[in-house]
Amino acid sequence: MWSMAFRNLYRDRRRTLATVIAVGAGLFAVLMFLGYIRFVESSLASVVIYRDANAHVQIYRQDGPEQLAAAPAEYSLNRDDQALIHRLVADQPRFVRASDQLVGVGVVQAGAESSVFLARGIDPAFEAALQAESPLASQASPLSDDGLLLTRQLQDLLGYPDKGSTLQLFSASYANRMNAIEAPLAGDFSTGIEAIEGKGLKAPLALLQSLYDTDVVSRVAVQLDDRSHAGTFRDWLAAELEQRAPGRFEVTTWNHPQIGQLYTSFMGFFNLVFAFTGIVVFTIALTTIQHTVAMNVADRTREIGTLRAMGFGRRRIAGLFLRESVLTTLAAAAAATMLAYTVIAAIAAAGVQTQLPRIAEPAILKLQLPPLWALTAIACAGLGIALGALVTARKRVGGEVRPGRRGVPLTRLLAGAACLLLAFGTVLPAGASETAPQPSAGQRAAPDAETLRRWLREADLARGGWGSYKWKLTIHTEDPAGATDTSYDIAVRDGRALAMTTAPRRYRGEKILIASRAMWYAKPGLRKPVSISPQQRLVGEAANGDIAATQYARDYNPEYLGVEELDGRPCHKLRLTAATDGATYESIIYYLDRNTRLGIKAEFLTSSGMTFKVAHFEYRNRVLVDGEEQPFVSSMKIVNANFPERFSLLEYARVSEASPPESLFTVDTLMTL
Amino acid sequence: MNLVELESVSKSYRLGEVEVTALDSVDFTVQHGDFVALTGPSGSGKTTMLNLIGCLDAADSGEIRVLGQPVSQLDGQALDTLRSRTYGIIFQNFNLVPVLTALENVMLPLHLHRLSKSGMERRARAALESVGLARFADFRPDQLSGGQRQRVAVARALVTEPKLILADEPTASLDTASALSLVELMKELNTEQQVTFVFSTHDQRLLEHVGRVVELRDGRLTSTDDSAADTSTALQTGKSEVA
Ligand SMILES: Nc1ncnc2c1ncn2[C@@H]1O[C@H](COP(=O)(O)OP(=O)(O)OP(=O)(O)O)[C@@H](O)[C@H]1O
Ligand SMILES: [Mg+2]
Repeated sequence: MWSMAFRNLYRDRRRTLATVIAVGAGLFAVLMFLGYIRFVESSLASVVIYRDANAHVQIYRQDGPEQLAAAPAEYSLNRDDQALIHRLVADQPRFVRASDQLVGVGVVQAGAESSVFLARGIDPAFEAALQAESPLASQASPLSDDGLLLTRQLQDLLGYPDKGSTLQLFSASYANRMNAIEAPLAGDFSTGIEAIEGKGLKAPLALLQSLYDTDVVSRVAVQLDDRSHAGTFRDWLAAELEQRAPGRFEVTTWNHPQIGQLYTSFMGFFNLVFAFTGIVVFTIALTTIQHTVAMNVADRTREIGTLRAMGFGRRRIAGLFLRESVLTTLAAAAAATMLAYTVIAAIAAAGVQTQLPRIAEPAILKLQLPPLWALTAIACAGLGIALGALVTARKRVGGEVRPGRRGVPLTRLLAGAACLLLAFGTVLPAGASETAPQPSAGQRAAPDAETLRRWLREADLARGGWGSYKWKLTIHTEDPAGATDTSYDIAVRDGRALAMTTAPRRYRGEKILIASRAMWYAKPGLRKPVSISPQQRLVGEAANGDIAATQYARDYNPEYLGVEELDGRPCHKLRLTAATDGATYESIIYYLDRNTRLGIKAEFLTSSGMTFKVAHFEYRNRVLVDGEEQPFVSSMKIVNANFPERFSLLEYARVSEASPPESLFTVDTLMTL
Repeated sequence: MNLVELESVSKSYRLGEVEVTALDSVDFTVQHGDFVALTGPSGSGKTTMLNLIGCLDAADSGEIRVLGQPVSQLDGQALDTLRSRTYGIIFQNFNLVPVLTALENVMLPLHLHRLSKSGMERRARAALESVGLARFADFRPDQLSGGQRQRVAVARALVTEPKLILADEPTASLDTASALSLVELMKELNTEQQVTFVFSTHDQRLLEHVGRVVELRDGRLTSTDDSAADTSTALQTGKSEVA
């Protein structure tokens, strides 16, 4: 029967050739695509493991991967943790090397320009060792012991400072104090993630630790001899650590969604595309084969009739057509495989450069098609096609060759599904956007803008926003990582303020100047003051902008929202919207006591309208203004709206009217004070 | 026992609105060693009747028994087996498989019998020998003449040693000489190997060589078929019955 099938194919060699070409082209496409996917997969893996210095296995504090960005101090590994981890991994057979790493955010400044950074602190020696073993050609500058690497995008935001020029990094320390360091720009690197490429900064671990004023690290990264061992190593290490300190650690591998985000998200998408392409190609191949079978059957009704008359059953005759399809598919598979390997070799020889999805630097295109993968793909496709051919043959051989079909062809089914998906895509957002906000009704006659502004000004006055005063401020900050206390001497004059740290001793000499909406930070050791933009004032639980009083009347536009009771006190409720770039917050919901018109509560909102901080004010201080006793703010409690256990208590003491000299409030004299 | 019995068998075809009666309550019997010719004008129902005898089609009414077994009780697979074990079939257009050689064509029906490859080949060669085509074993159908092709078809029908060979107008595609020699061959096989033949023809010259002739007209048997006649000595000359 096989030879008969073969001879039939030979007799109809033109049709056979056409079928082989059609099916072969499909299989070739699948193989090439598979090779490309494998290439992308291994490149992405190398990027995650080597270029981004994630290595193979990472050890965090429990929930560290998710929480580090929000609470770096709380989810860090202390000295004991670090020692334990290094001791455990060091004598494992798969172990190559391990290193501590730190992540953090802040602001980088070059001259007058500044921008937010997302930094990774890495041991330069560890990075150099990883780079040396990476299969990817690296274009990044090596990390030195004292320099900073910035992405080109970040350098662009900073106006392309010269190599070797001094950059200032400014951030909140892990103890939520303001801190700044200086370091030279040493070169470029790429984060490989477009979303954060504009913020990428790489620093030697020790340097970054000094910025955050800490000796903890975010994680320990462990390099193994091969990525295939990552899973078992992780399981082993997790069990060991769990035994020693239950619930304290979390061990991940390079393809953890939080670490190999680039890899996992893209491979997920890619696999989907591959599955879809595979199905489409498979359907085309299948339809071609089915069509060929149907044509063969139609052409050979007499032969079929003869065989049937001889007593050949449907199954046996269908088997003949199946054999023909299998032979055709095999020929197509052989041709496709040969062609695929030839083309892959040719591409490798040509050394084509390609841009990998979401990876900034180009890579040499080298398709990877291990024989086993190719074989599996071909076998799956072949089996499916053969099955389809058999079904068609049995149906067709069964008797009359009917023209009409009841079943929905797979192609039409797929097209239908695609249309449905598209329709969903367009319908859903449209449907969602139909829920328009309802107009707020029931407002009482609102005070006019003039009145509101006067109220704000009076409320600002009681918080030191205007006039000339001095006072002592202590800030008690609490969060799960620990509590800190800092004291300042504050002097204000007409909306400008100077804060000088008085305690703890270590931080004496730090100064914060707020003058006409600008803000500067200075400390001994910095060559010049760090300019702090309005957004950067949000650093720390008590925003730096909160250290000195704020002028809501100047920076925000008020809108009256009505009267609301707070703890039994009727209050005017106002929405303040930032009127200038100098405003610290996008918008504030502000409650003024209806009787005293003092601001007693403020809710600070993000640009998306979520409350992220809430402040409560008390006014137990009294100051004499023009001989008249006025209430003055005595405490401000700022609570993190998402983590109520994180709060800052600002207490104002020894408030008195004063007339600090004008020279106190200029940047030029800030360093000499 | 009768080989095949038809008992008031009717068969009609629907062509759109029109219903054509192809066979109209036909009674007919075939016995072992018969050499029967079905004759009648075109459209009289010869092919239909052969198809029913060969279980290639089902009757509308009446009963067909093969070796005493009513075929209406058999399922598809049993029918396939019955065809392969009981019948050999010769077609008007030979219906050889074009891609196979003469020998392979003859071997084809043996694939349904449990035989070794060499056993199959031996029997196929013997069958080819018996139709006088041993030399042409490796020729493909398109390399053979019409008469040779039909002999291959006969060999193919013979090779399974069937109880009954059915042939629908086996000589229609042949010239007179080939036709005569084919009938002679069939006759020889009938007398020497007791192969039973039922075949249709409207070639009057051939009927002279046939022991038992059955005539159909508009789906009915026109003559009383003496089915009980002793046909083992079938070399009577002339038509036994005349329309
Ligand atoms: N598949 C079919 N569909 C419809 N009608 C049919 C079919 N087969 C045969 N017939 C009709 O049945 C009748 C008998 O046909 P049949 O082929 O048995 O005649 P025949 O004696 O073999 O004729 P011929 O000598 O031309 O071969 C004819 O009227 C024919 O038109
Ligand atoms: Mg006919």
